[in-house]
Amino acid sequence: MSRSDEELMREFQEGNDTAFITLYERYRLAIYRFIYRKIAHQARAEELTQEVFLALVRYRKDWRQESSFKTYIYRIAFNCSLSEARRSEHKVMVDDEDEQNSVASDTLSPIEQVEQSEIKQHIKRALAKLDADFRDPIILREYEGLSYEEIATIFDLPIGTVKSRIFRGKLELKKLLTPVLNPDINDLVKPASTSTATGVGTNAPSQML
Amino acid sequence: MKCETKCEMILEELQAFIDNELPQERHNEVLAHLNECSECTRMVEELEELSMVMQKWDVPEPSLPTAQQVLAAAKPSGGIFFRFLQQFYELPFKLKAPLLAAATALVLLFISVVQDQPNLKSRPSRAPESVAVKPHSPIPNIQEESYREAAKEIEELKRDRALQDQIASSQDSSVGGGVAGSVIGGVNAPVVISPTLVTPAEAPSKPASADNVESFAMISKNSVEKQDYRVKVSSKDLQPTDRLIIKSANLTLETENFDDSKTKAAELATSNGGFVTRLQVSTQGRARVADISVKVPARNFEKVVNEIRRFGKSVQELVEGQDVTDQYLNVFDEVQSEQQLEQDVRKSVEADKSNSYEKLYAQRQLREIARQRAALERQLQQLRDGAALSTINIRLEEKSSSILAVAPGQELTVGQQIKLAFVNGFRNLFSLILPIVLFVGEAGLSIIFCSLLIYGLYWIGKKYVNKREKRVYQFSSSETRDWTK
Repeated sequence: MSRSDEELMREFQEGNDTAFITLYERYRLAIYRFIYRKIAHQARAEELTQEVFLALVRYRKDWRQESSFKTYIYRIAFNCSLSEARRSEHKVMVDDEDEQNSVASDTLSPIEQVEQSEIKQHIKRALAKLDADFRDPIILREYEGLSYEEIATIFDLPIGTVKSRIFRGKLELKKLLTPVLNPDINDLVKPASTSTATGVGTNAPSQML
Repeated sequence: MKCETKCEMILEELQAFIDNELPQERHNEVLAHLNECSECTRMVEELEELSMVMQKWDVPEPSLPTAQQVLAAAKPSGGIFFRFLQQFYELPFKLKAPLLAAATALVLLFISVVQDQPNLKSRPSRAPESVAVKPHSPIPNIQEESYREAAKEIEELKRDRALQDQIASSQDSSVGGGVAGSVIGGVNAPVVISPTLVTPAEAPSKPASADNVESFAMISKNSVEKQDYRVKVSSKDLQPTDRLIIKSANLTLETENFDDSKTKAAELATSNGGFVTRLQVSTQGRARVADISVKVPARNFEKVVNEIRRFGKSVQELVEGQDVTDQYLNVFDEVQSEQQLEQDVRKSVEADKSNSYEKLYAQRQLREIARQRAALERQLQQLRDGAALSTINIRLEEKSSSILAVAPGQELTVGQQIKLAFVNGFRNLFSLILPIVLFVGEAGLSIIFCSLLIYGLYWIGKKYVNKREKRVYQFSSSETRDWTK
């Protein structure tokens, strides 16, 4: 029953539309999540996800059977979001205001909900601040669980570069997310916090680098 | 110290260690180091914590189309035209630009062809205009009245003819006296034919009754505008004509195939029933010049002139049509009266049986009259010949395409040759650039216009394709909007 992505894609290339349905169900959310975290805009992420799969269908013949389907579709997604970014270069990224209300969980108290959404906003902003070269591999690794090798294939980079980009990106993120990572210290002893508690986290790596 | 260097070496790999992306050997090494080094352990913990925190950013539930919807949307929409447009706009700029340029060129070509159409149509009617005969000819002016006059004259002539016949039948030999009075249009109209103007409309009604009287002028309102004025002059008979026009043309042409044109000009004259009266070739500077005079029948005049124009670039041109009708009629009149006088004198001389001095005097007078009449007739003949045969003077100037094309027999020194080569080179360069400059100057506006037109079409097409594509992608936009509410 569970055929590999490559087998399904091959069938789809031969004209079997049900194979595409399976593939679509497997990947649509993953692709959407990747694009959403990359551009932080829901409606556009949805549109781009459609575009990715439309491109997959339209240019199905372009897929070479020996390559991995997973990296192929992420690559399409990456290219689509790139051209989208180029197209809307002049547009200012706006935060999705709806998001905060959207994932309201009943199990959390109102205070906790606010806290959660604040953390989310922090992460979102931190990732947005991050250089795209660091951000994209981190998103794929942290959220989608792709291997370094797969990421290297998607971005057409050596594995070593991917490794160092993920590490540096994370260090950068750590710096950006200090208030989230050490909320207690941050709140209690604000002036001292940077030198004492986060000393290792922020200063040490930058010295070592 | 030892630890620090080790830390430095290992730090970069800590994330990979957490992600389990290190080779087993290296993984074990890092693991061993972490057991010793608390700072690195802390680093690992922090990185792990960061990953944990990052996981808190969950994504909102998307509203994505179903797989079927995607498949349906991916199917090429629209007709062949839309798909073609889509394909076109997806082409790289490198390919699109020449295609657009070609389209612009096509539009230019199309416009030029369309604009040229009326010119092509009007060419035949333009040709006779360019021969400056029409403006010189008084016929269009006299035409209106002469039309009616001619009809009247014909009627009168017919009556006169009937009268003449009666007289002739009664007194066989002595016709002169009876007819002398019938003067039509300032011309004596005895047994000989009178010059009149007859319209084609009148023509069929007339010849039956008046056998000897013929209509020669074939000029009507329409024919004046359409046809060239054909001069019907035969050198044999004393045949009156419509309008006697002596046509002449002086053409100076620059030609590259000098010898060819020269022989062709002579051939043209002979093939059109004419002949060459003079052919002189001389050399002016480096170029040869040929002066050719040809005579061609008047009816072929325009045709020959037009043919000759094709020999080369016209430098100077003069086409004349000299109306000598009045002159002809006057001379004709004089000839008539001289004839009359001669007849009268001869009759009286013959009647006088005596051999008196008066008779001798009269005979001498008769000779004088005859001589004068002959002179007048010669003049008449000249006028007829002039009208029958038109003169065309052609001056052909050799146009050397290269300054180095030296007239045969001339030799140049090396220095001269080099100089000439430079001059020639610049000349050629100029002649290469000039058309471009002229083209851009003259066609610049239309080029800009066409480019704008094509660009406008391109832009509209692009908008159209984008709009349709957008529509394809936005099949779930309503759902998205619903979701955001």
